[in-house]
Amino acid sequence: MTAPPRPRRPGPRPEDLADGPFPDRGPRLPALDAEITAVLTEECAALDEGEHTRWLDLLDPAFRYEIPVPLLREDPELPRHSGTAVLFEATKRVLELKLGRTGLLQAWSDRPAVTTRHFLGPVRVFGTPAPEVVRADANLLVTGARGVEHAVLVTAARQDLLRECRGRRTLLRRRVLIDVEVATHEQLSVIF
Amino acid sequence: MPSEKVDSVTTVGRRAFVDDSVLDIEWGRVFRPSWQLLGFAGEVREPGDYIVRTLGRDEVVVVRGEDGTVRALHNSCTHRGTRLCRASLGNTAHLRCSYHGWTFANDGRLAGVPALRSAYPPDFDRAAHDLPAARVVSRRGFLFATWDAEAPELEEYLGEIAWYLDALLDCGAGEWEVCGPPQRVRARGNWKIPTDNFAGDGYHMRTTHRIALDQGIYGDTLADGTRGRAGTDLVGVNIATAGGHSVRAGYVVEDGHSLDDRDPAAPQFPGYPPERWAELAAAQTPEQVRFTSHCEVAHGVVFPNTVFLSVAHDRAVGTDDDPLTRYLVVRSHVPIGARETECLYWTLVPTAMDAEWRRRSYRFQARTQSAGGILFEMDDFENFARIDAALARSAPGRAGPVDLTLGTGRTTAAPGFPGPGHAETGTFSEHNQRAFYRRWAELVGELP
Repeated sequence: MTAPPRPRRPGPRPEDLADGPFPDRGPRLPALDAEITAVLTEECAALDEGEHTRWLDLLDPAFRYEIPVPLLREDPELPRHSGTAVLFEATKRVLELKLGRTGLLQAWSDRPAVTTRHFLGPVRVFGTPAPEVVRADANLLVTGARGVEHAVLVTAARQDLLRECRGRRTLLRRRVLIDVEVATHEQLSVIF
Repeated sequence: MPSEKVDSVTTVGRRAFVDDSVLDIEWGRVFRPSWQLLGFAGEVREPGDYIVRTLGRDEVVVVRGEDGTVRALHNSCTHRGTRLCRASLGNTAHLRCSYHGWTFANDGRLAGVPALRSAYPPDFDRAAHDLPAARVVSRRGFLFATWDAEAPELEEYLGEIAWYLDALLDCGAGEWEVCGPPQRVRARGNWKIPTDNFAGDGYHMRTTHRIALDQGIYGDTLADGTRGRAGTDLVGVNIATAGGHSVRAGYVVEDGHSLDDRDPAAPQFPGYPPERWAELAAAQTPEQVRFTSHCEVAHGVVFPNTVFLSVAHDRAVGTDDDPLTRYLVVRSHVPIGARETECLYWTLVPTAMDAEWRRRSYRFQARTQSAGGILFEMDDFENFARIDAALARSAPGRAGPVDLTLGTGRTTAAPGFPGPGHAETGTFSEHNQRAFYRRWAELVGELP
């Protein structure tokens, strides 16, 4: 006797959205703006306050982080960022390695640490092909300070995918579209 | 040239790294007569495709003409000097000046001048106003260029370093493709600082990248996938040439053994799939295999400012199931000023590898040694910035020149090494940096 076929999901699995092309905006979901804003505000605070364990706990195991290469093009209709090339790309494990450095004496670029401030603009929430996943878009301004010669200001569009699982929202994917065509190494050392 | 001549410069004055007047001299004496990397033919595949890059101190439009030829054209209108291309890449049949409308075909010819017949003298020489074009040569897809009409042909200029570039590429058993547009970053510090680091600095690994070693990002897995370094050693070979080019290769061998103890019948290519090793060996000459087999890392400089790195990074930056995976990154270090450098990074992947391997190779580069590589690259940038800050704030005469004597008299010649150039065995040596600065000093001459 063969098992009955499992019911088909109405869309892709959440993990499928963590890789490959970043999902387009689905239907606008303004009723979720306040809830998602609260999640992202706590997440920014965890980064700025150096609460790395708390921040990592907000990341889904399938989390993917990417900063596409900016492209200065003549035609404004064409994408301003590469669809394939990245300035940086990371999994949760890679970010754990990065944040694990700060307690180590020879983490030269992390000691002294950079003081960051994440300023998040209004968050707009959209649906995605997976029912448990929403997309949240916001403008971001980050400042970083590390002595008189290391002052950073970066602006970017930040696009997040958040997954709901057992009543909790975790970050499934983050794409950071920085505005400057050629960033400095101090700007790229920021976790956005 | 005897080895003692190749690496005869043991100190460099501090102002060479911070003084704009030195950079002004370098533009004319170092960059102008040299071949520099502009990018890759794969970035301008179709007629009209262009990218904007820097050649010496000049911005150039690297464009594939309708005839299929790739040219490097000065990005400045020959009328009043306006910058022609404002974007950094695109496709166009013509370059039109935004000021008065002079128009150039994508082969550099002045094709259109508004009011030419009614407002210019009858003997106006249109051909004399074509865009200046540099010499461009595509070598295995690498686009090298020079402004100097008297410079030797590219192959002669590259000399012995061509053998090593070919060996690294032939180890991929076929063609290579460039992964998208380059990563770009502006870093503090003079262009020579990161460049001499790539020339052969094995010495900084245990300090600058101590954490990368401890975290297993680098140097924790043997070629066959065995984790851990027990019972093995890394043997460094430094190869310098009279042209200022250099390579440093690091080999994993069993403790107490030398390179000669490698089994020539069983070559190993760390970072490539073991089931493909026989195929990779067959794609190379026996001499190339003796260079690439067991080689965990190879990096170097094509004088003056092109560098390359081929390295097998560990699964620590991937998942537990990921095998040791190699990447090849080529970089250009373009001076912005005496104290700032733009670094461009191109990752190359062999088309003989499957799509998953190529994707992993690019990701491992992006996670470690990319423009935003927070696990590895940032510690190098940190040191370059620290060097810059301290040198710029030193009063003249406060301290002596920078020292390059590491390994002098302590390394051994490697007479049986299969490649050309002056090869020395010694993990800690500034042999290659001395050769880089010897060539640099030869070109710069006496500083005023």
